[in-house]
Amino acid sequence: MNCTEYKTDEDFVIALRSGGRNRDRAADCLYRRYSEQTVSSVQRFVGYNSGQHDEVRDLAQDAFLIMIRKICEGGYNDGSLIHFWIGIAKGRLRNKVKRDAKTNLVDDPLLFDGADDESPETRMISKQQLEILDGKLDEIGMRCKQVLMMWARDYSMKEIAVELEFSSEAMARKTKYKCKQKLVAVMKDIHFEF
Amino acid sequence: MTEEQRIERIESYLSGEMSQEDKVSFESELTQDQDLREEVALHRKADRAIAYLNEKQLKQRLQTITAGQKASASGGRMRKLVIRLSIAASIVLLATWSVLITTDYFDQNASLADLSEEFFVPTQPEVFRGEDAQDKSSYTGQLIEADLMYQSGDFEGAIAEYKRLSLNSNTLNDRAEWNLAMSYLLSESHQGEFDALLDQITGDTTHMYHERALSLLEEL
Repeated sequence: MNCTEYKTDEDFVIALRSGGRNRDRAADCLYRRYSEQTVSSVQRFVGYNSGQHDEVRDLAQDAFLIMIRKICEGGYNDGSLIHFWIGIAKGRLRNKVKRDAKTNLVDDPLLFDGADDESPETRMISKQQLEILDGKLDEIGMRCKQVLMMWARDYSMKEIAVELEFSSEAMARKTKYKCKQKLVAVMKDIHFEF
Repeated sequence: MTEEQRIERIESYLSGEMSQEDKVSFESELTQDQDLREEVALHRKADRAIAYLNEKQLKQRLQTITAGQKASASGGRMRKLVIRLSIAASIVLLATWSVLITTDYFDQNASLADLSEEFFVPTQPEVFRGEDAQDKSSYTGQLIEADLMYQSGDFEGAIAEYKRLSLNSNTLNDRAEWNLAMSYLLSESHQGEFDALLDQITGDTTHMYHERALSLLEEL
């Protein structure tokens, strides 16, 4: 993947906010560029312990998901993206430590208070609930999932039509509408918050 | 108002794209209409479910990228060992090669042509509607031009076109990247680029031709 088109953090932010394929590509490149640095920084924060490396990486990935959502929804204005990411990761770690007071953390100015802004992927809802949710989502079919997921990532109908090989934009739009109806119908059977 | 328009209105409200005036009016309806309130709640839940799927997919992609980064890092350490082993192996291979080269055991060009026929994805103009495909200034038209170069054996020309399209087109880039990989495969001087690109596509689960790339890798 060629990531050289993103010279500055602002280039990443513009691409992420533009949605569609641009967003997906920018997210991949942003992760590739800063993930090692972020994981190392969080690792130092907890005090080096190689046994925790995978756990820290997992936490950094969850923080990345939150960061992308915040950028796309306007919850980020300026400042360095890597500091933003590290701040969210450390904030999540701090919250985890509050629940499980085993790790001593060093003081750090990068702690970010928005780290609790969770989604089912980053928040632990029960495994059983996730299985129910996954099962219900399977009921709408893979094609519907693809269409709705791309629509939610701000792909245009034209992009969806081309990528998923619909005969026209109108056909993609019609499919999205039907899929959304299917999804709303299956959501009636989900009786827990997520 | 059609059912479709009604749903679009709910979606517009939930995404925050509704104008202030429409929002006030919609919220006033909400206070009076229990069915509408329930429908909005279901749509909100549906939106969260889609966001969940997207984040789950993105996390899988991050894990794939991480695995690739780890593999590259360990590849560096392995390279030195491989060089030493290669010297030893090359002595054995040289002897074997001299026997095989005199037979028809290798017909590499023929097998590559077979692979190309199996894996190359020609652009079908009807998928993109005729008028766009006829226009050579459009990305679709350019993609078809590149396909023609490839099919006529002008791999260097095709490589240049696909490369440009994979960088510039937001919608056809995966298709262009895939056929770029096929052009590298058939050309004689791009083996390294072919390996790198195939590696990239097999490592990217969101790539449109991810599955196809895995199949090709298996065949190779």
